[in-house]
Amino acid sequence: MSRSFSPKAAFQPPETGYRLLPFRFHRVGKEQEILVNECGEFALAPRGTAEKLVRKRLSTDEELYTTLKAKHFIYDDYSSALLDVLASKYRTKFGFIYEKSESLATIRTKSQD
Amino acid sequence: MSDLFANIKFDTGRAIAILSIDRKIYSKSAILKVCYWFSEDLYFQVTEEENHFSMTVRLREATPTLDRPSVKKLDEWLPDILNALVDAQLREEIQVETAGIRELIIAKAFAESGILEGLPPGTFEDPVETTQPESTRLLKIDTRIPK
Repeated sequence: MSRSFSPKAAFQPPETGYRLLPFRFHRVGKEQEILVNECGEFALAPRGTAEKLVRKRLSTDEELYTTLKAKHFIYDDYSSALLDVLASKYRTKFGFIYEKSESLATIRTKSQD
Repeated sequence: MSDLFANIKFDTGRAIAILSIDRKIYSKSAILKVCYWFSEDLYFQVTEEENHFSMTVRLREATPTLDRPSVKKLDEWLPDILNALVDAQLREEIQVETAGIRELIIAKAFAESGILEGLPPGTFEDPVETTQPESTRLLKIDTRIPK
């Protein structure tokens, strides 16, 4: 059985556009801004990128589109399955908070016994 | 620069500026965040009108002091305030648009552990359980006055 790649068109960004994932941004100097997502991944982008993202004016042809998609700032129909990856990263980063609260609850339960 | 601020009212000494902010574009919380952000250097007063918010801005220190030998003029602060307003409003829009997906990510992240299934200890009204019997309290509080 031979295997082959799908045609190029199959890898093109969907025409339905993209949706935002939670992120924060801050202006850095006069020409750049830093975008940081929920898991602490960041991207330095030209100033005005956050506004472009929110207004859905970022073209899918731009290199920045693929960068922001890869770093979990935006997602589209093709990359929505990668939300599990983002959730996994989130758990790695913030798991200690929940572990602490769980152990606190365990201590409380034991003290009540 | 004065043309840029054609819609901003100044007092005669240009020490106080009054900005009229369209409430269809900017939310109250975005405006208040900006006020907080600059509150180290500027005084703000915000009033709510029918179609707009009125923001009065005044310098905390208008004349140079030994602690602060160079003082930024109000005209120099205004571009930063206007940019901060845009940023704060954009952050709000991002937060509104991504609130659902954020909850989904957190739910996915901690679904397997089952941590989110149980309620956190205590209640919002009584977080350290002062109304509960002392033996079951999460936190022991000694109310005795030290001698």
